[in-house]
Amino acid sequence: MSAYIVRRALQAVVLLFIVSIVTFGLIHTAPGGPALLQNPDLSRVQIERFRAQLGLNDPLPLQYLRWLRGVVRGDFGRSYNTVEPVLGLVAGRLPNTLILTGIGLCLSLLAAIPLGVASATRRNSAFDRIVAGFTFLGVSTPVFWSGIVLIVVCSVKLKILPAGGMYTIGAAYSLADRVRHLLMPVFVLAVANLAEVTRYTRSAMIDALGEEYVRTAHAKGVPASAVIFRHALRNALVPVITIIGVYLPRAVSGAAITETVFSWPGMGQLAVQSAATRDYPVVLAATLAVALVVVCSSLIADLAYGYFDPRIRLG
Amino acid sequence: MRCTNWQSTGLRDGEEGVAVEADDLLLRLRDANARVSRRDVLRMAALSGMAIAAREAGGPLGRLNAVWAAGPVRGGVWRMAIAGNPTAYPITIPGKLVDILVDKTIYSTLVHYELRNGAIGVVPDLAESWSANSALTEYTFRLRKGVKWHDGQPCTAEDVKFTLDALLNPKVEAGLAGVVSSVAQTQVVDPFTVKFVLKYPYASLPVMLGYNIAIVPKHLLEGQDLNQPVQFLQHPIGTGPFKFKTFARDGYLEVEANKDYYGGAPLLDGIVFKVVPDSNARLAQLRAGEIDFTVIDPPQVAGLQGASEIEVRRAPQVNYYFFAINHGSARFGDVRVRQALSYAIDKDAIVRNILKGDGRVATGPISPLLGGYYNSRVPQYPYDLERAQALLSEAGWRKGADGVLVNGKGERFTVLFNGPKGYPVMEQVMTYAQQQYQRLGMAVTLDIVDWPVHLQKYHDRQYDLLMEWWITPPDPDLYDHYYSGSPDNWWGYKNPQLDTLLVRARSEPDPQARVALYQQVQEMIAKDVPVVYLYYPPELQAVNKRTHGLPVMGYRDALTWMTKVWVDHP
Repeated sequence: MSAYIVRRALQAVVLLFIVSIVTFGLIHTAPGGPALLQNPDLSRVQIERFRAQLGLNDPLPLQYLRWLRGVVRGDFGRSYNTVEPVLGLVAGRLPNTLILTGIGLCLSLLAAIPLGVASATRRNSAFDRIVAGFTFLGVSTPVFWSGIVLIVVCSVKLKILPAGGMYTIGAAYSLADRVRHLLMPVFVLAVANLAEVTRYTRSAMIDALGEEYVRTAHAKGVPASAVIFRHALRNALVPVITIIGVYLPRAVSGAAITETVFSWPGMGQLAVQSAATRDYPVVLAATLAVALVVVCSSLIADLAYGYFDPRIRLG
Repeated sequence: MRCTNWQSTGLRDGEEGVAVEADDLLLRLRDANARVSRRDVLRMAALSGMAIAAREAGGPLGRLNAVWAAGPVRGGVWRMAIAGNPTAYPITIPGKLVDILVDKTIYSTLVHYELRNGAIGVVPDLAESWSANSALTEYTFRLRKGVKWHDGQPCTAEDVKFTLDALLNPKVEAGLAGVVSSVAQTQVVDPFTVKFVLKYPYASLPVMLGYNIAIVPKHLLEGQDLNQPVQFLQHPIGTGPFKFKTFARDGYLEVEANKDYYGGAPLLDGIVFKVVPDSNARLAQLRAGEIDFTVIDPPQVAGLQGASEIEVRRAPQVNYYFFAINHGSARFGDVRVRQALSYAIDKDAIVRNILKGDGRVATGPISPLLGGYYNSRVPQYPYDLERAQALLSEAGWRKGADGVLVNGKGERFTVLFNGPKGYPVMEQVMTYAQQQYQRLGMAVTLDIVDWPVHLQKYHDRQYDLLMEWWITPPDPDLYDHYYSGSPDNWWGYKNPQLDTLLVRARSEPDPQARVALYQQVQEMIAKDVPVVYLYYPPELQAVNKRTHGLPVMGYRDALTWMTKVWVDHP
């Protein structure tokens, strides 16, 4: 098992290396330079000077090697938009996104798995159709609309929830305050993902329930609930774990719209803003962070398979 | 006691104008060493102002009574939305708008701007007075005495020299270097007198020194890496009315009142700059009462109609929107073609229908806010499509078989029209312009791109027409953008007569003669159409009515007057 993990780790390093090269090439060849150099008040003379100072006139491979040398020493450079070190910037934002998307994912799992199981066992009933209807509504409503509508209803009209941010400014730390700020963005995220996970669980359950061992268990006289939860569900969860493994990297970067609408200072917002303003060091660091999460989450998913289904042996 | 001034400025609340006037008087009385308190001055203002207000305001007399009984109150925090994370350090490049806004409260400049009777003028701030030699090549500024940095150290001419030297140092990534590029040398004459020796005669130096040139402390920055002074960035120190308190990297920057501020302690306890990137979210937070101020776009005005606690203000700003013309393109070389481009656009209709009345048709690059400098009697180009067509015809462009203009050499009149993405008003104007130009027979292709790409194409002149705006200091000097040889002449415009006039005007020591020269400049520009001037927009601000005393100016300038602002307490 440990040999397996070591092998995966080495593969991960190679992967990250390739990702960094591709990303570097892509962002530098994208049209338009760093937005900070395109401040309309800057004179042409200054723009040329800054380009030279930032090393943007050097050939690309040289710029990449310079960046790599810094990374090896732990220095990811300075953001072009704010003078702060990139590593600190990304490290500060990452937990905020993970909290948001982590809780969102947990909520949608908590809701989706029972809903999926219930839909599978009541296939084609009214309950099944209603659940399908609601979840599709959830996945087709764009977040930038549903988010703003929620803010208007809950913050502007009813004034029961704050309109954005992570916490109330100036107030002392309070868990209740954090939870109040989390409620709307997490709800929006969870609803958006509910449909997918519900449908996958439902179809995985239907497949599992059609297996021969289920019929055998029924014939043996095992109570229905035990058949569903002790036998079928564990097997149905394997494809669901795949989905979660695919979902996790999206969790880091894909909440950009939610984060923007709710002024949630997270990775998605950072990635979008830095890409739009061509803040190269930040874009690189953010992409690598996502790549790292992809690698880790696929490793966790693979290990989880082994736990849920002993037939899958790793190594 | 100039209490009647507020009537002419058209402010809605009588008390704002009177409080501003009263504070002016207070400062002057204090400077003359008179022992008065703000309360005394305001009480005098209240008595006379109330009589006027009661007559003029009519209806809500009860409310006015209550406000005047309370008067400006101390305490409370004012919250403003900004679009990104600020860095409260005015020397290096980010120099983004949000940095500038925050810096206005923490730091001071030598002078700042005031709106009086519809014109923006320069008033003393850190500098008490200044004078220049007759050739306008040397300026002497006398600094206010007794100014302290937030850490208690005295602010002197050494700090001013340090700041200017830092900005002009080629190794420092200073975004504002261009603003003070006229300065060759800064000399400390004595602890409270600075002398600027300029590279060329330049009348506009005092105005430029008020354009975001915040003075930074030498004793904290000397010897540090000015591109990334790590310790200073964690706790910036200035001489402004507010002191840096906290920066939560994930969401806001808070400043607190500087009780020892030389202009008098602010009425507010503090200001919070909340980072809210999305413009709809800013509006939502304003309506939910979580922020007190945000700048809005014309399409968002309608959404605030029903909100009784929000006031939409149209603040004058020195800004004009225009279509840049690429003078490298041969077909724009004929002035008749350029004039046709202007005749074909109904600017009144744009102001009426797209801006919903919030704006004024532009006659040239100098704004009416520049008072006497503004020349309203220049040739204008009222909407006349036939005239435009006739001018094009005279210039040799006639419609071919496919309806597109062709000249004698068989070249077709194609136009690549560039604009930035994400600005609905600009996109509407450009779509309208495209239709109009197509009626004339031009084959117009719209090229609406991301902001960085847009500016890159602007700088590299990869366009035929391009829509942009220009926010400038309140000064008529046009040299940088209109002089043929200037590296910042982005459009490649060449007019030797204008060049001579521009150099003469900015070196002219006599104010009357300067005004006359700039009137001529505007005449010449209006006839020659270097770019198509569109409109002067006001800055649209949405403010919570608990805010009082905020001058009705663009927020870049209003934020330099925060000592006068107070808020209602719940």
